[in-house]
Amino acid sequence: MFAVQSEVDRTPTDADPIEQRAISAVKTGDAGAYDYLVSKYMKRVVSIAWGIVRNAHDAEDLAQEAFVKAFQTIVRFKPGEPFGPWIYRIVTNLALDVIKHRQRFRHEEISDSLPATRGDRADLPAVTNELGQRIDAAIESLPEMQRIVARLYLVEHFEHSEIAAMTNLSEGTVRSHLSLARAKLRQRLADLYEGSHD
Amino acid sequence: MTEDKFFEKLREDSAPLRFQPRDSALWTRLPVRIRERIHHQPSVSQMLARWYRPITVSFVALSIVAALSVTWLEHTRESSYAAEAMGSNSVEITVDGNTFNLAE
Repeated sequence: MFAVQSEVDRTPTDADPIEQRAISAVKTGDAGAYDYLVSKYMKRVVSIAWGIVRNAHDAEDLAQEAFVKAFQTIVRFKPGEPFGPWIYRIVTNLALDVIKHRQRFRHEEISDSLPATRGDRADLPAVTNELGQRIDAAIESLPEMQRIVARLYLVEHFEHSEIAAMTNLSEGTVRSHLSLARAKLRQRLADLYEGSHD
Repeated sequence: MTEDKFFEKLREDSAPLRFQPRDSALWTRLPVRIRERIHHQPSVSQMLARWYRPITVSFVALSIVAALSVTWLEHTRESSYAAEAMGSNSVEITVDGNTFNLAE
């Protein structure tokens, strides 16, 4: 009944009547209709979680928790609203909680000045070339919140307002993190980009 | 290259860095896990059982402890009564016509 049409998951609900129907069906107790939403959004949701926690198992668990949480509270979901931003916000918040928990465990604060200390590149796409690896390493070397915001902007292609909604930061703070990240990334990737001219 | 152009170019080059699991079974496993979780939402009776079961177990444990305590107290009290009775009553032993009183 609810066949997944594509993996394009940034279309508003209005542009995807199947999504709208699936949400209505889930609200009226048809849990099976939720499969459509899971199929449509899971890849993006796992990718967002992985980009933050950088661990495939944790990302899978976080995606599962996010979808279950969304299902449990779907009655509060406003009709006509797109499902994507909602599930992205849930998974981002869950992933940020994991990061905070890790930091607390290490008796540190999420810092704007200290570099992030993850290095799990095991699940980078197999086709990732040297350029991709350099970019990934440069993003991962950023301080925690700059890293997360930069990844959401550069890799996941979210806009400032979307990142602000997902991370509970103001749009100004998002822009500030991105500005700082841009300066550092330009410096660290200078050899790759300074030679190219548009 | 301007800052903005650099960042837009970097954004283009970063798009392929999205997560791709080494274990592609994840994409079939995850929906199954989610389906299992949401199709097994606890019913009202299960919710009540979840609350009542530990409370019932606690009450049973308390009852057993109370019963054992009362039994032990009764037993202790009886023992002390017997000792008191022995202490307050004199015991007389007669040997070869001579009577000895142990209480004296």
